Amino acid sequence: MFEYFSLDEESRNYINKAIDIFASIYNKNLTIKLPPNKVVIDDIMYKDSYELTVKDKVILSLFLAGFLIDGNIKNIFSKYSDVKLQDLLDFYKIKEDEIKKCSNDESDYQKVYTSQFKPILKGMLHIFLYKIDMITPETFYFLIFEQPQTVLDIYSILKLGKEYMCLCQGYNDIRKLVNEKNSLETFGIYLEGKKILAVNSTSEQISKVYASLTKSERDILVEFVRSEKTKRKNKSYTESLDNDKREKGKNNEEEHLWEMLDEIKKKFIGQEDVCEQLFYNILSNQMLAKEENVQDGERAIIFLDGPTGTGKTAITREITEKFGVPFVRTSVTKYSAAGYVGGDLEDILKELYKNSGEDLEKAQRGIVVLDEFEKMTYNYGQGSDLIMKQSVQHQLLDFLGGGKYQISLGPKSLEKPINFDTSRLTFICAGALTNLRRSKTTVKPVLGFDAQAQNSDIESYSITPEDLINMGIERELVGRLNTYLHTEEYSKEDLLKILRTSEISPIKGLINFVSKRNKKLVIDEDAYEEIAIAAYNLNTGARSLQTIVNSLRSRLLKEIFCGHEEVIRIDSNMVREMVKDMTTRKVRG
Amino acid sequence: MKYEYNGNLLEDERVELVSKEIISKYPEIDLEHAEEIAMLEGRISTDPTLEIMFTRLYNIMLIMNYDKKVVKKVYNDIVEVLKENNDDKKFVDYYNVVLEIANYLDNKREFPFLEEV
Repeated sequence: MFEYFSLDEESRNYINKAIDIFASIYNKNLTIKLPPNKVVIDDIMYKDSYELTVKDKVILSLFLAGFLIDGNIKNIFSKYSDVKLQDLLDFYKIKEDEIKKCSNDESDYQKVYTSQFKPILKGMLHIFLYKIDMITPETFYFLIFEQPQTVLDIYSILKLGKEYMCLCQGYNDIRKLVNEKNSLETFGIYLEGKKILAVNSTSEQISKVYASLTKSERDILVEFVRSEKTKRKNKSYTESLDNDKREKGKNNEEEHLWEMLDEIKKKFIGQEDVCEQLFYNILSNQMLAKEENVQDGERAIIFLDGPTGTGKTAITREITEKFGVPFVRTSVTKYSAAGYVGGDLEDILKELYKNSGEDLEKAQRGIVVLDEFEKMTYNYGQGSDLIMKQSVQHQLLDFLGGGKYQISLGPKSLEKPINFDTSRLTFICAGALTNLRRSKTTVKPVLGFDAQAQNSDIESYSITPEDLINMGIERELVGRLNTYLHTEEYSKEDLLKILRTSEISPIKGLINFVSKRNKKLVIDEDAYEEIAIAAYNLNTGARSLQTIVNSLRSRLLKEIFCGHEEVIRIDSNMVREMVKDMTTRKVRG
Repeated sequence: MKYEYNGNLLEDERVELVSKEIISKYPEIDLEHAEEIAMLEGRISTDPTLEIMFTRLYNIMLIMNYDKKVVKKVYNDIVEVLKENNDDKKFVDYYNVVLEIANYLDNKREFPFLEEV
C-alpha cells in the first residue's frame, strides 16, 4: 500500500506498527504488511534506502491521530495491550522537541496531541471539504484499507501561498464513499461526539464555544463555517440570477458571450473561423441540452478535421472551459466494442461523471472529444483489425445517437448503477484526414514567407459525407455526423505571429524563466523568423514551435545557470546552427 | 505524476497547473522552485511521451540539484520511466544523461546539462 520501494527498517516498523494497532481495534486479521525491501535489480538504480520524510511522519501521525480523535487513548490500550505508549510516542519524531519534553505520562501525550495534532487534523478536514464530523476511525479505516492507492495523497497537505491544496487522486470517489459511511443528516460541527455548533453560528458563538481551543483551531472553524455560508449564499444567488436572467440579464449575457469568443479567437491565431464555428455549435448544443423534447438531429455532432498541431483539442478545451462544462478527450483507438481489449466506451461516461463533480445533470451536458477518429476508418492501416473497427463503429452509432447507459463507478456491492443518457452530450470526432485533404487540395510546399497561394487553395477545401464513407466510415455513422469543421494548416506567417504575439506562445515560458534567474533574454527579429521557418519545416503545426523552443532552451541552459552575461541573446545564426544540429542528429538516429 | 494537457492555457495558468502536479509528486519541493521548473517546461498538448516525462524529471533535478536527497528520489523515478520506455527512439540519449546524473550523485561531476551529454 505504500509506494516507497525501499524503506529503511525504522520506517517499516512504524508503518507496520500503525497497521497492527489499527487492525487490532477493528478485530481484523489483516495480513497487509509492507513487502520486504525490493531487490534493486537495475544497475543504475541508486541504492539508497528510503527514510521517512517529515511529511511521511506527519502522515503517519495523522493516521494515528485519526483513531485517537475520539479523545480517549485508553481505548486503544485496552484493546491492544501489546502497544506501549512509547510505540505511539515513537510516531512523533516529527515533533521531537515537544516529545522530548514529554514524559511517558499519558496526560503529557494527550496534551501534545491536543495542542499539536488536533489542529492539523482539523485543518486537514477543512482543506478536504469533509465535514468536521466525518473523520472517524471508520473513515480512516476506509481510506487506508479500501482506497489503498490514494491514501498517501489524501494526507498530503501543502501550503501554497495562502491556499491549501488538496492532492488527492480519485477525490470524488473517496468523498462519495466517505459520505455513505458518515451520516450527514445533521450538519454541524462536532467535538468528541457532541454537536456543539450549528452551521449558521456566528463567529462570536464559535469563539465562545471554542474558548478553550487554540486560536488556530478557532480560525479554522470560523473559516469553515464562513465558507459553508458563502457556498449557500452563492447558491441562492445563482438561483435567483437564473430566475431574473430572462428579464434582466439577457443583454449582459450576450455581451459576455461575445467577450468570451473574442478571447478565444485572440488566443488561437490563424484559427479564428473554426473557433467561431465551434463556439456557436457548442453554445447551441448547451442551450438545447437544457430544453425538453429536442428533435433528433437538432444537436450538432461535429466532425473536426485538421492537420496535427493546429489546435483541434486546444480550441475545444478552451471553449469547454469557458462554458464550464465537463470535458473528456480520448482516442477512439483505446476502445473496443466488448471492452476486452483496451477500454470500454462507457469509461468515457464514468470519466465525464467524475469530471462534473458527480453531478449527473451536468455530466450529461458534457463534451466528449473522440480523437484520432481517422484510425477507425476501414481504409486506415493494414486492415487486420477490420472486425474490431466495425464493432466499435457500431457501438459509436448508439453512443453518438443518444443511447442510455448504466454505469457503475465503484465496487458493485457499494454502488448503485447510474443511468446516463448520452442524447444531450456534445460529441466532437476529431481527426487528421491527411490523405483526403491532400487529394482535395493542390498545395505545394512554398519556401519563404509566401503563404498566400497556399491559403487560397486551403480555403476551397471541404469534406463531404461521401468522402467519409469512401474512407471507410459506416454510412449510418456518417449520417450522425451533421457538422463538418476544419482547422487551417498554419503558414509560416501564422507561426511567426503565434510565436511573437499569441498569449500562448511557447517562447513566453523561456523568457519568464530567464528573467526569474535575473537575466534578460533578447531575441532578434530575424531569429523569430528563423524559428518560424524551422517550425514550419518540421510540419507538426504549432507543436513545431514548441519543439524548436525546447531545443533552444536546452542549448541555453548552461548559459542561463552558469554564464556571467546578464543579457542572453538569440540571433538567427544560433537558431540556424541549432536546427542544423537537430537535423544532423535526426539523420544519425 | 500527472501530465495533464495544458496546450490551451495561458502561461501563468500553465505554470500553476504544472507546479501543482510537481508538488503533488514531490511535496518536498517548495512552490517557488516548482514554478521555476514549470517555466522551463514546454506546453503539453499530446498524451505524455517519454520526452515529456523525461524533460520534466530532468528539469526538476536541474533546479533542485542543490539538494541531492530530492535528486536521488527523482533520479530513481526517471530510471523507472526509462525502463518502461526502453523502445523509444530517444532512449539512448536519455540513458546517457541519466548515467551522467548518476556520476553527479556519486560526486564525480557537476550536474550535467543536456547540451554537454
